[in-house]
Amino acid sequence: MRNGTDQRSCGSCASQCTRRRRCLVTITALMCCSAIATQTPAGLVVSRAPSPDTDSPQSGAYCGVYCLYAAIRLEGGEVSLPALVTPSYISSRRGSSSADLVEAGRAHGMHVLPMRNLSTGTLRNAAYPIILHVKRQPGAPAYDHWVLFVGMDGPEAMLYEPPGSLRRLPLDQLLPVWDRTGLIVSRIPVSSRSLIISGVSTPLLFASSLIAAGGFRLARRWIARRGILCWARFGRPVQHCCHLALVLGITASLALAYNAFAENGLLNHRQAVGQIQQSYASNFLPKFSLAKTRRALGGGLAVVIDARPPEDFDAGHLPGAVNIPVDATTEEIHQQLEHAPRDGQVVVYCQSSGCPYAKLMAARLTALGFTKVAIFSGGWHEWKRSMGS
Amino acid sequence: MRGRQSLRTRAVRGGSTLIRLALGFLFLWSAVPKLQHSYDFLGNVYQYEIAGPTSGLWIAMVVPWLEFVAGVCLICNVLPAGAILSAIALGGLFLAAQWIALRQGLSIPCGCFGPVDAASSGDVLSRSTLLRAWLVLTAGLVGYLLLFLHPSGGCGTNEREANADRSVMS
Repeated sequence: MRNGTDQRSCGSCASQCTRRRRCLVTITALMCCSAIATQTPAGLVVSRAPSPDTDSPQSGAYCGVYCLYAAIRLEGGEVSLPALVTPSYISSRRGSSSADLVEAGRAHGMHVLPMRNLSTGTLRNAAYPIILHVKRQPGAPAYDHWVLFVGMDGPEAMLYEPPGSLRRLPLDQLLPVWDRTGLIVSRIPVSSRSLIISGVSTPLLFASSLIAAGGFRLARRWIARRGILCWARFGRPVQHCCHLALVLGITASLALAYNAFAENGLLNHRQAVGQIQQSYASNFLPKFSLAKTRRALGGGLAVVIDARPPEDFDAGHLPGAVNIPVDATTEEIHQQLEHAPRDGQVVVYCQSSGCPYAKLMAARLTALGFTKVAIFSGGWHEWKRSMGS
Repeated sequence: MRGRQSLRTRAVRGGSTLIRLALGFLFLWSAVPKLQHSYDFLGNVYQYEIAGPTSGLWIAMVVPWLEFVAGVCLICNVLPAGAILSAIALGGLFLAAQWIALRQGLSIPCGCFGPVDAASSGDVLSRSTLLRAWLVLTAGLVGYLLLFLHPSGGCGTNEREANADRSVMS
């Protein structure tokens, strides 16, 4: 009779189906019992508010221990969720660290292997559940969340984001939110195969480049001895230009080859790149200077939108500006801009250059079909200062 | 006289090597995390609000590799002139990008050494990061000047200069 390990290492369809069925059964059971952990353990303050921009269920500071619990159960281990929800395994208000989860896993008889620089290839070949360190959306500033990778379903990764359900995510959409760190959870010591796949990238990069540089030096010496291609004959400027051209040529070849063919290359995952570009869409909108905003206002063709709250608008605003606060509903925006042509110039501003409302409003207007949206980044502060001087 | 010249040659050579190695390791140190987290670096580039979607993508693809190749070449003393000119270009690019972003009042991560851990205070764009970029540019310019004063050996060396050096040494 084959044991569980054999089944995992076997790449046959039968074993994958068994594993997938086991995942679904275990995760359904987990969803039923997830309510246990909603109580805050003594001595632990969880203050992080849920992110408003995500529709995924929130587990706050417990995401790490939830994932570990699910991974242990998937591996056939015995553990109770309250045993993991303790301050020693959730060491900060932000949640569990990698070290916390390693310690928790080991305390419950599991082998937890923290790995860095994992690739999508590692996920495709993974025979164990992996807890992935992610952020909630591509534009988010920090990686502050854990999700459990339980396997692949065709081209999609099966992710368990406790206490929600199992969801499928294309690898292209996982890449922009994953920092390529993961904790491999297993009942047996993890095979060296996964280590080889993911762990050697940096030393390999260094070793191969040093070998290449050494080889290049030897080749150059050999060429120099034979008097071929001696650039110094043409003078130092030519020699330096040749050096620079060679450096740029090597760089361009490596950059193109890596990004086109490597597992995590930027040209290899257009969807992931598109997702990142979309999350920074407001950064690509044109920025208007004070002079340009004045010209747009003077011409009378531009619609100027003040994205600040009504109190700030009432205290002072640009002449002819329309107040549409950043939290206005889509209907309110439509009402305010009923007569504004979709292809007409729209200039959005808020308090100052550090204020994010103008960008958020500009992004909303672009999504609503306004094609010529610009941001007056200096905002009310710069306008007021220019009026005073 | 001969001794003084020899001392000067040694000082120039030492200074050149020091700058070469310092810049080389600095570029390698900053290139590797960017290569490993290329999607984060792409986000960093877009945060500067200077490049568009396509030009930003090209910057994110090429800059880490230019740093890497320049770093390896500087450490191994291969194509030193090309590598140091690339270092000057990179220093200038970083300085200009940071100066523009600071003038716009952006408070964003520098992205100079790859993505930073959210738990740490971070490498936020500031005058100190601007100063660092300026130091890289200055070191590159000084390194290039020293390279002119004392070119490396091999095919790349002007024969007459090498002979002159040898006669001074003897």
